[in-house]
Amino acid sequence: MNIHIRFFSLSAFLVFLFSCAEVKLIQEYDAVSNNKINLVYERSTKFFTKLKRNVGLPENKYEKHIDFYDDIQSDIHILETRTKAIDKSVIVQKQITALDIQIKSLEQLHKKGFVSKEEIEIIQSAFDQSIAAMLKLQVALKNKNN
Amino acid sequence: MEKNKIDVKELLHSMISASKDVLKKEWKQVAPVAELQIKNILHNIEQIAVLKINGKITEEQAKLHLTIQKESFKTILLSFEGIGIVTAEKTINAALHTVKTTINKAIGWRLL
Repeated sequence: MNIHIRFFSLSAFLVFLFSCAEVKLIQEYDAVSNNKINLVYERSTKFFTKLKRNVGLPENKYEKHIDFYDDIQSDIHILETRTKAIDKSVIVQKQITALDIQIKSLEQLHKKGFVSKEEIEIIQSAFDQSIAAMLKLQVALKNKNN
Repeated sequence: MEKNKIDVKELLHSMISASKDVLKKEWKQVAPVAELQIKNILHNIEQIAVLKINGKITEEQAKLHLTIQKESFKTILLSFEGIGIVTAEKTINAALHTVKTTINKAIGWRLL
């Protein structure tokens, strides 16, 4: 009986000690991912600025912007691969998937041609909100240990 | 709902209640910012509807536009969810740190 009590006490104490270790519910901040998100933001802002300036002109044709789509899709692919390697990064992974869907939809719309500056502004507004939300989470992750 | 018209109030209510369901405890904390962002998305949806009704874009284009807005809404919700988890983690670890400090102090050497 005594042995049982001792064993139980020791187990309870070990559980308690174990529970005092730091808890990790979400990934750590990753500077490379944060920089890539900023790069995507920079690229998309430049892209939308050009599009708005050239509405109705041949400069806005999809064929003239294939480089933009190649670059931004490479950025997203790098982000995807990198975050998949980070422990507890499901939320950021889901955000990257959402951004990827947005880029693919944008590309399809671009192939059909934009009708007005307003149409481009509607898309830019959604992109800005998405990237701002992603950066907000990055800031929270960065300040996690402060 | 009348055809070709969007009931913005109804849509706002649906989006806010969907957000509340997803965010649960975090909702109170993020409500002012979240509502503003939801209103921005709704404004964009209204504009897409206007473009479609006026025949400037096709149904297929309207659907692509709506996908972009939907994914933006999803990203915003995910961000709030993530920030909520960071807050929870910080709170738990701060509590554990207090326990650690108290025990170490009581026994006089660094056990934890």
